[in-house]
Amino acid sequence: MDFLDSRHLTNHDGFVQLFPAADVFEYFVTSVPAGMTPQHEPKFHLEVKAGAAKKGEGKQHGVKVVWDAAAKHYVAHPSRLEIAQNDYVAWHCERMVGSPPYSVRGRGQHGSFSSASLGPHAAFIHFFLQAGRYTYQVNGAGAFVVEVLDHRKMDPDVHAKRAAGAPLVKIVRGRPDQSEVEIVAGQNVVWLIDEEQHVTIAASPSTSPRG
Amino acid sequence: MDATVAVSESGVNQLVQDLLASAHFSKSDSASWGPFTVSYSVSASVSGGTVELVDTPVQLIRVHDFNVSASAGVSLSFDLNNILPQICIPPVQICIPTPFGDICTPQFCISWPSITVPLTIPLSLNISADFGIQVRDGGSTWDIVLLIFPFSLVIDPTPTINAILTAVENAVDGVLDGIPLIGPLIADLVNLVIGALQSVISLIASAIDALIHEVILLIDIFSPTIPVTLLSFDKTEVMIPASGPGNPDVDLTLASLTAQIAQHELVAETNFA
Amino acid sequence: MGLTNGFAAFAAIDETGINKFIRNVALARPHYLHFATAGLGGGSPAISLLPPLTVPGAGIGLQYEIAIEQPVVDFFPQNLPLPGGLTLGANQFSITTGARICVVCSDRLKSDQRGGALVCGSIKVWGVGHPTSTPVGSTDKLIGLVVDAIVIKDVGGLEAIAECVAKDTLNALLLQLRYLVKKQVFGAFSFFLAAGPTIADNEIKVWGNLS
Repeated sequence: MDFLDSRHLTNHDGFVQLFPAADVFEYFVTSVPAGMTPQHEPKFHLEVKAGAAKKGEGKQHGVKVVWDAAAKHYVAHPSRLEIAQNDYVAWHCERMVGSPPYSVRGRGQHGSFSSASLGPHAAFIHFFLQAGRYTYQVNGAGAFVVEVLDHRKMDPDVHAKRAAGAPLVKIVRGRPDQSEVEIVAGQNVVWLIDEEQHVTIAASPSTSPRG
Repeated sequence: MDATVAVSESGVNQLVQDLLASAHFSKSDSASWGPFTVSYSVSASVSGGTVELVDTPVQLIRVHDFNVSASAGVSLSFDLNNILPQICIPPVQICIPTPFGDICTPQFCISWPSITVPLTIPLSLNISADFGIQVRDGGSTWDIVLLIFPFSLVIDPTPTINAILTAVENAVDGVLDGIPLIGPLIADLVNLVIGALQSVISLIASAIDALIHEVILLIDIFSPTIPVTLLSFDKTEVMIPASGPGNPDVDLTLASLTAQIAQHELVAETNFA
Repeated sequence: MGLTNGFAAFAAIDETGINKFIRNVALARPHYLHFATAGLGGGSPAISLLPPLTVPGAGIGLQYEIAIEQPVVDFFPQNLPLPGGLTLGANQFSITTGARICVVCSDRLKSDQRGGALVCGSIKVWGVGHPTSTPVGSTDKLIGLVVDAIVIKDVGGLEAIAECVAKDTLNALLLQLRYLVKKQVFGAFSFFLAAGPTIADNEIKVWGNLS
């Protein structure tokens, strides 16, 4: 059963943050709980330079999150990134070798961002590997569904076609704009938190796989 | 000679079958070959066989076609991460239009599972062997023991190899089938595992077969070093048991015993003290 | 077929062996062969007790003892001599023994010939008989010998009486010498009698199965 919780990112997850204004951020990629500042972990740098691009015209930058087993903390590659205004950064960890889930938390001169408290201008991506009926909550409320169909029970070509896309679910006023989404195993769902703040997306305790 | 006891070929056959009824041994071992860790346990028992009492040119007891029934319980474990390459899915990057711009979803890199494949390999062998006979002083008994002549035990590894390869192929295929978006790759990935296994399968099969060999030789009747007692004569036989004061046991003591095979019979002769 | 003659097992005791067995009986239980009245030691562990014989008209009890000579058995074919009137045939044994009978003569006592009060005489006894097997329980058998004909010589007109008493005495002794047939294989395996006992070739032979 996939672990679904935007507050605790795993190798199934991607965190995207758009930066609408020039700023210089220092951020952590950390397992330390929210509300606590990591004491012995490196800081990473993100500089957002002023630019002409409007929102929707920026480009995506990727940061790889890698677990340093010797140092026992995560490291961001590249450790220093320079982007333009209205660009967006996608953080993703490819391999978790028994390492703990993490969050990306940063503070700049004029603003801050956190994957553990999404928005504004953030997206949370989750890759669904196992089939089942996933019930999730937004900000601890509601019962919204992602139905993941088993690839073994469908024609491979049909599956491949469906897996070539990813549904976009927008969080508006604390609720997803689609209360139920049907995908196939091996597909991502992208939750967009544009105007909202402090959003969490997590599986509700009653979620169980249905083979 | 004061007394003679003779047992026919069919009688000796019955005695040998009685010996075999308790002939059962098992042993376990484990080892690693590359990424494959194998633990295996072998149990073997013996039954059947037809006895022939031979008196020329040498005296021996020949048993045709003992059936050795052995079973190897094998558990083969391996971490697919040590064999398979890193594969991330989906194979082609997926980008979707959003108010931010096109968001390209990250690839999910598969963490391959570890697999344990249990299987049981049954084995059935027929062994024929010759035994010499000898009289040994067992302290309070005269024992007629069997001493096996060296015999060859060849175990064909092919059934073991085929059973393991088939079981691993099926297990890996089953596990990989559960991972989406790699369907077209599964056959090749399975072949990678089978290829890795084939480089060590002969060694694995040899180790299992060697253990089978060892277990069979643990069975007393096949041990070249442990004589097996076929008949045990009490040196002192109470012919008339005691019945009260003044009537103690009346014994006969066997001062010596000889044994030979003649006219398809096992013949023991003794003199009383 | 050899010795087993179609059966699983064969066991035989040679006449030499049987005579060693009889020797061991005599050593272990001497009272089987020695009888006497109390006055002559009867009633001790080595001597069976006899009641005194009443002397007709004399009003006294006669003290006496009987010592039987350790018997010697000969299995067919004949190796030991037999007197006229007895022949050893197939499946037969002969038994050669004797008896020494002593009485305390009161007449000699009165004349104070204490040293010579014991008056003794000996007789020689020969018998011919056959082997027996007697069931014991559902599976066991007792192997024994029984005398059919007896000869005592040189006892004059008392011959018939002496032979009658001697035959009863010998058969009573032989009854005590019976042993379970399985003893003939000396514990080597379970033995169940199927044929015999038969006397031949100077042996008493039995055949049987292992279960």
